Amino acid sequence: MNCIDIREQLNAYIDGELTPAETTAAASHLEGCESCRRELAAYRDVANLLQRHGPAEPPARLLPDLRIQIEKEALARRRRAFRPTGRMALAASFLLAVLGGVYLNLIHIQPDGVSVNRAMRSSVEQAAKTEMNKRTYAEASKAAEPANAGKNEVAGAVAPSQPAEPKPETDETDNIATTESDAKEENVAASADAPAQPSAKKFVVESAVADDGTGIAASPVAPPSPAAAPEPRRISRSAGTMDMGAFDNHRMGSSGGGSAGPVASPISTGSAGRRGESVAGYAFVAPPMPSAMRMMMESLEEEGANLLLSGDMLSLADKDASPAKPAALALKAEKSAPRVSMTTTASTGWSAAPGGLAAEMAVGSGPVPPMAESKEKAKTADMNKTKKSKEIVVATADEETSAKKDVAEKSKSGAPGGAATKGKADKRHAVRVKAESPIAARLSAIDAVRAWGAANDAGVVVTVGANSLELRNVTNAQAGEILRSVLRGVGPATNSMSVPAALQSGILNSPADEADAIEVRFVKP
Amino acid sequence: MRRAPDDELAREAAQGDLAAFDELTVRYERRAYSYALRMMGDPEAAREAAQEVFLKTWRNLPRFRGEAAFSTWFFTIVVSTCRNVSSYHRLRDRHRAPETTHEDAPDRIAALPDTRPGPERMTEKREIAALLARALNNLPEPQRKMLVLRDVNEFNYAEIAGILGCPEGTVKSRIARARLQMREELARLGYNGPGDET
Repeated sequence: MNCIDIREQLNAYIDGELTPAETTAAASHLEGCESCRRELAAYRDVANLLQRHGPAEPPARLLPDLRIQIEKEALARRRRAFRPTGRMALAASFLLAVLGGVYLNLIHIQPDGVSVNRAMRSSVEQAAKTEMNKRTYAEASKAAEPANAGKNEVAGAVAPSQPAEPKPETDETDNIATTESDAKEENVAASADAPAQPSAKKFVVESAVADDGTGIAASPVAPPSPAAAPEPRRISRSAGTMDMGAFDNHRMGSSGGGSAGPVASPISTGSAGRRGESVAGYAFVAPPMPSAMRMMMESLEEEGANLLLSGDMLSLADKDASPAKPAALALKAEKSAPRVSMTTTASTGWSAAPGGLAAEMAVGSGPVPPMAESKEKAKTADMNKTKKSKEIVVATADEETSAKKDVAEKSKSGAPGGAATKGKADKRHAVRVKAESPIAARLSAIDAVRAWGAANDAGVVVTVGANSLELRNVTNAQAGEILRSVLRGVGPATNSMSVPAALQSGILNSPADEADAIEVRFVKP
Repeated sequence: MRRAPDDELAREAAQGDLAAFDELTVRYERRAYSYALRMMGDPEAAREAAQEVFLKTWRNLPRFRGEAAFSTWFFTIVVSTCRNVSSYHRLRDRHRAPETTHEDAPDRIAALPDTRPGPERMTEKREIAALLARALNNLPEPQRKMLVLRDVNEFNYAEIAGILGCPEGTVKSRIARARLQMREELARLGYNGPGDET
């Protein structure tokens, strides 16, 4: 072993990490080499210094504070153990719906054999009171035909036919039986209550698309009459259809965002006008997808977050939480639910920026546009192969036309950050900031945008996504300025910069981890 | 004081045993705080990070399967939490005082608690601690991480590799580079070896 070999091994020798053979060889070399011994002593000195002065006594209040928090968590955990999870709740509500349907239809078959469920009955009674939804028998039949087709089925024997009654046009289905017998019932009731009806053949019909969102199909029904003759037992599935309809509506509404039913998603896409409602400055906004929100809420509650759900905004109510918590929670929320994005308000931002952010950050509903062109993608792919770093893409939809349109709309409506512009991928400035963690990358970019916003009173809308930061309501010139401020110190003519340059310019605030290299690009396709 | 091994305590704590978790906290409090302090240089940030670490540990204990030693598993949480808290603080500080550099930064470490008696010796130790903190602060983060895990937390190379998820060879080379750079930094700051310590 010569001096070069031994000096490479000196630290491992100090730390006892050499094999016995290597240790013996090193020791024998050190015995006869003064300069290597000096090197060894110098390294050992550093190690000793750290070992002596490195460990520090934790503050006295660390454990008591921690104990309080842990006890809270333990209590919350015990409570959560009894709380149904999202899937369980969904399964339970489904079961309830099915059982409800069965209950309403099987149990509540009237003695006279007329199948009337409670929901329908109450709606019928309500309608009868107001006399708003009365139609003639023929109208009812017409309305019932398309909605009932294939939905209502009647098992068992049909009711005895009433020769005096006009038949509905849907005469080939079992619905006729219901209709006929109900017609008879209604006829009886009508003759008792309202003898002046000329045709005495009126039906109460709910509209084919129920206003209450339950999805009840049109079905001519009437309150049962105690005087009616007993009929064979019949089972109608109309209520089952109703419940399933409600469930389907819910599901469709949640994915499509179009349902206005009573069980429609409480979560809708956030809008700029609602930013002020945020409680702690960190707000999580989900697209109209209850499952996403549920997943997010669950994951956040697992983290011990105290959440407030208000309208379509889920806010973090823990004002006393440690500063790292909101960012960590946001990251977790974003991981748990795709398309969930995080926003912050001007009033309570990450830090006390002088003047705050002039342009309040808002979340828009537009999808985050694909950022990279093919060439850029190839570069990114190559980069990702070799480096493990996380990245955030700052993309701006900076078409002048759309920007002008937005500005025009904004000036018309007078609302800041009005219309959400869907970014087009054809022409775009983009900045890619890579940092040692997604949070660091995100905060770096946001930090720069905030700094710009503090100095420029413009109604820029900034959408902060899991891996993107989208700017809207910006002109080309503004976008350029913002991006330049992100790439602090980079001139407008510079299209790209190296890692050392990025570090030197101060965009990146820490020396790059060798394993997590930081890269900044300014792409102008 | 219980004598149970860490893994056993971790299993008990995972099932809600607060006493077991307390014991773990007592065992690891100093190590976690020391790491946080040496990585961040700010006692308040270190306290916050240490607290966050134990909260995360409590929440994640049910996921601890005992495949690695508890200390290794625990320190993966320590490292990631300190990185996140540090990122947050760094960005916040930069926003507040963007022109501040390492050289200009006030020496926050000088306020470290010191239990050694005698005002002169206290001052000496404080000065050395301040030098050490400054020198550490000037190391690149990966090297600092390795050095703190090795010399402050006394993990061996294999354990450090397990905590950071990198090969042992990387640990070895980074520690060597870190000690070399640390020597240079200390010399630049005026530390002349063990003779400076009395």
